[in-house]
Amino acid sequence: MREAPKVLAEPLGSELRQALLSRAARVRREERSWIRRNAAVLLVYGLVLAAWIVAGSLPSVPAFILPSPLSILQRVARDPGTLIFHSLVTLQEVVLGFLLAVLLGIPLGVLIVWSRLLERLFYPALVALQAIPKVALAPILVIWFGFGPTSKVTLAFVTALFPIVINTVVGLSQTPPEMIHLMRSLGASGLQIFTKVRLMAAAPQVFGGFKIGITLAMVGAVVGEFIAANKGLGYFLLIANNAFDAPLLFGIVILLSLLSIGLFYSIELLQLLLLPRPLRRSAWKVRPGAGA
Amino acid sequence: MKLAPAGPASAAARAPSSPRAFVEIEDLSMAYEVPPDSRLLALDGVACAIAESEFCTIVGPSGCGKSTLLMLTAGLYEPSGGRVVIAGEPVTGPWDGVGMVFQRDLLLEWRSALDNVLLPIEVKRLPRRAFEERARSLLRLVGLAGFETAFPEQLSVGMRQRVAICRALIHDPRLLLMDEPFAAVDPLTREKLGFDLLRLTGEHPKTVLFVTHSVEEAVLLSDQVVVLGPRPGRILRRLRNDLPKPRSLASRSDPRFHRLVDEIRAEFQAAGVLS
Repeated sequence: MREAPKVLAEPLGSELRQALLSRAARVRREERSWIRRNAAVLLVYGLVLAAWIVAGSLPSVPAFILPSPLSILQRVARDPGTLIFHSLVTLQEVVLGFLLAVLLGIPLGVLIVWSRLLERLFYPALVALQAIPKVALAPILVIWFGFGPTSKVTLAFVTALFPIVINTVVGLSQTPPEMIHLMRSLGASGLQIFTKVRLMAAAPQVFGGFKIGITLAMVGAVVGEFIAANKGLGYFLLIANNAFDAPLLFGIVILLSLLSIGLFYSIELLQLLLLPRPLRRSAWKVRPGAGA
Repeated sequence: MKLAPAGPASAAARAPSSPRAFVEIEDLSMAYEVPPDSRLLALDGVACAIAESEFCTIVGPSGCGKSTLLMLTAGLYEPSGGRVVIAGEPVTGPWDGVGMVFQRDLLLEWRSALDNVLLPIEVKRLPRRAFEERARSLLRLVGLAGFETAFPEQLSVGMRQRVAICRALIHDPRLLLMDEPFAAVDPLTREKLGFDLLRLTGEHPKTVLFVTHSVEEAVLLSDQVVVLGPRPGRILRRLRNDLPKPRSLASRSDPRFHRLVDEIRAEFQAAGVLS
């Protein structure tokens, strides 16, 4: 009550002001603690970058072998439009290929778990497909689907499919037999057991498959662009290589890994948004003493 | 496939003079096919009867077919010989009115304690709202008031098993089948859970078939103890448990408790299980 005149002088209202101030203080505290938590990581990356700068500026190291980070940045900054254009082409191929792999991979995993016959039918074929180096597939796919993005999308799809199917199978097979017994004793149908128990319990594994799959889809798309293409980061990489443009070459490689990191963490974010908190790790935890 | 709910009339029609027991296990045998072409006899001619609201414990060494007996009673396996009759009707498949608890709590990690308890209601497509209050009161009865919205990962092993017991009781089953439910729990919590279970079945009378390795547990909880011998599981002995009720920690110092435990141990010794 003593403070009443002061409150009148502040149109914002002192409580709101206080809240904003304390919020700002909290954000600052969190920033500080973030730096403290990640100090080791930042230090290591900083040291690597410093070593690179030093090594790049040594007179005995020619610029076409190891361009300095600064020259890479300058080269990338000179024509960011072209890089963005090729990045978008590659990203589109990767995302389309990955989505196809999800759309086909999950039902395929379900079928493999559901039927012994389909397991015997699909499993060897999948393993065989995985065993073929994707570079060897690329020329065939180009013959079939042409120079355009379709052949790259297909290659990204083929590369991403395997981990998605395998992780779906592993995730779905993990449900303990007693849980199936429990559900059946309640009169649950196979479909109910599947939707209420197995599918949800498989979700962490399935997302693990997505994370591997999307980075592999990137590899697939770039390999496709290497073989035959007229756009995309893989194609642009070849152009830079033929022009002996080392800073651009390094810039594209760094860009590729940054894009992969971005895709990987997008899946992680999706998992955080879609799954309830306990499912961000494995569903059937083995606790001490709960053996047998 | 499902057993029709048998009214008292049909039971009376079968045995007009003497009322039939709720669960009758008649000359039950179970052999598992072991590839390529051998058979593993798990149960051999087991016969016993359990009255309505009776707490029956089955005690025996590892691999004596105790769990198989529960599966057959739930109608989840088909016996190789003999049959199980519930309320006068032979079991031919999974039947309505069974609640099961296993050694692992089998809680679904992505559901809250309350939603785990309500799982049977969902599976049976019963109205959730009609059972929510019952679920809350069951959780309250086992000391989990305030934990309704907690995820299983936030609960201790003992608390998780309590939730599993509530899940087995939510649809008011006529028969509770428990397969070593407290085997994964530490000894102190184990005793507490046993008394919790007795309190629950006191408030909601149930016929219970309870499998355990522990002779003491078998005696402390039961009205009847069925002693199974080593594989193939045969009944060594059936004992009526006259330990006074309600049971408590004091029951352990009752001379009758020790007499029963010693008798069961003697049976195992004679069968070569204990040396």
